Amino acid sequence: MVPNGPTITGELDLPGGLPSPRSGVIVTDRLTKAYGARDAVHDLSITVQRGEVYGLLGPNGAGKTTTLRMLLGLVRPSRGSVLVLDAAPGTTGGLRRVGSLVEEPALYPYLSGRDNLRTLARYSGVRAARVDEVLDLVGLLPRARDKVKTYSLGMRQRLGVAAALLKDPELLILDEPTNGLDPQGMAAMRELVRDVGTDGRTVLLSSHLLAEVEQICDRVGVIRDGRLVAQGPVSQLRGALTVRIDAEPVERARRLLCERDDVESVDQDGATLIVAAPADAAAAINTALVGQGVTVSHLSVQQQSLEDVFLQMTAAELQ
Amino acid sequence: MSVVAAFRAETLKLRKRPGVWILVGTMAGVVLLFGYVLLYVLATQAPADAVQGLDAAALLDGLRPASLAAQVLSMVAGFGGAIGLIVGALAFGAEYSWRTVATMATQRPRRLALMSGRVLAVGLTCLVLALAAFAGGALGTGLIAVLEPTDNAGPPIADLASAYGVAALTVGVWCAIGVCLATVFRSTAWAIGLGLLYALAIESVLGILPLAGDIGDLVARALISNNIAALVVAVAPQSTETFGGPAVTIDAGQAVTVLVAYAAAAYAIAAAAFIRRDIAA
Repeated sequence: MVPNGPTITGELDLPGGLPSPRSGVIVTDRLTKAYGARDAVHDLSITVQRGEVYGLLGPNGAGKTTTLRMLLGLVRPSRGSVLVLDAAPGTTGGLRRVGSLVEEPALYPYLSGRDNLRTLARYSGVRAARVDEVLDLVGLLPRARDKVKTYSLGMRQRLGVAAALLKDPELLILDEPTNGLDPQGMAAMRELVRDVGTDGRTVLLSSHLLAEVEQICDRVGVIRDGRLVAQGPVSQLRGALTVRIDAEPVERARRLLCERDDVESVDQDGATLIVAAPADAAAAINTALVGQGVTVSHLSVQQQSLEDVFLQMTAAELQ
Repeated sequence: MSVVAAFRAETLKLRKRPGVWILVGTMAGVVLLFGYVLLYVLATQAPADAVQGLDAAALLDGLRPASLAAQVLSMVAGFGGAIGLIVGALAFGAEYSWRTVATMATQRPRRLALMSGRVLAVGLTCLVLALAAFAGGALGTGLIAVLEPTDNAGPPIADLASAYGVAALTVGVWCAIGVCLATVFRSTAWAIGLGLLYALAIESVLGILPLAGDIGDLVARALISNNIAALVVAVAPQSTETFGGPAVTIDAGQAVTVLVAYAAAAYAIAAAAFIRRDIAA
């Protein structure tokens, strides 16, 4: 039972979750990409604010990569509009300040790691010294002279991130950045992305891994079948706390709880009360009940994981 | 600025790519082996009954330094186009198999600038390929001069310069077709396969079709191989001894115009395909 979760049908814009379009680093308005009769992305409207780490969450085939490709100017939208750093995607002005890693890192296998980045630096007009800086940042400087075809998948992924950071971009777009990495590599990659995000850059990453988005992102857009089904800060998307209380007498406890302003809803499951309340309300509830002469024999606090929320949304879509 | 950036990046990639240097070496090696070594062996070592009708002295004269331009051009007309085609297909087709086309397109230059810079870099590679052909020829004729140390006047510099231009144009036209096919089909293999099919089969068939009247004349004048042949003969008339000469008489200026138009059209088609299409993989 979910006493007071987020609305799970249609688009959800949670309070405080949406900036005004003009302040967005990325602003899409009813962005649509159709392949024949099928919309890979449909009426997608998101805004990513400067300095935040925004996660585009969805299962495989949801339209995440197509969305990112449209943001980078690789794929033209069928309808709708998109602005990236106040410029149209794919223009010199926009690309100059955007670093990206879309799907797997696409690099030249016959070139060394350093020469791959030197090539990209030349395309971008970046000074050559920056190459070793980003190689050092991702821990690849000792292997810089080795050809990329000898790199492991994790090393290629790190080189891909280095390539994305080469331009010292204001906006970093990363598509499934931990794909194919072992757990240690995934942890290192998440830390790197988090560090990049706290460095004042804006990060947009896509992932089908809920835990990853939960750990890294400030805000999340949940996308399914090309449609945005929810958007907001992770904490709000996860919804209110669920407090389970075994109290005696249970009816008196229920009445007291219903009178409180910080309680959003109260349900009863046998002798257990299930209370939806803000994250910091559990202690106050306990104190109030005991103060009113109610015996509290058990109190536990639960919060929905993003996975729970995501599964509810999925279920709602299927219904 | 973006064109220059793309040119610099592309030259770095091409310079570091082993396949390009293998093809440069192949160009020099083909001219040396087929243009000099084999012909010298034929002229000096073959049994008389095996080379009936062959004027060994004339053949040997064609290998001397004075005939360098003609001999190299006859080889480039025969083999250089295929090598140019492969270079163009490799340079542009591999970006699709490695998926680096998306990496390129998300750097700073817009697609037209990107395409222009890359085409200039591949054009530079064609100049290097033409140079390699003459290097192979110079090595071959140098060996002949050592082995046959009589009557070895050097080639006229003016002839060499114009022959170099024709060689570069020959390689460049076919390279442009390789670039076009690789971009349109987003594949190296398709580009090389279809390009060679056209160069070796379709042009040959069209060349021998008994088309009469204006249409026949128009087709003959439009074929790449006939225009290249016309240029080779115009620059080095003695090349007909090895090369055979063109099937139709075409003015040199017109041949240059036709070949440049082929190259420009190929690049234009490639650029349009690259700019207009989504990069979805």
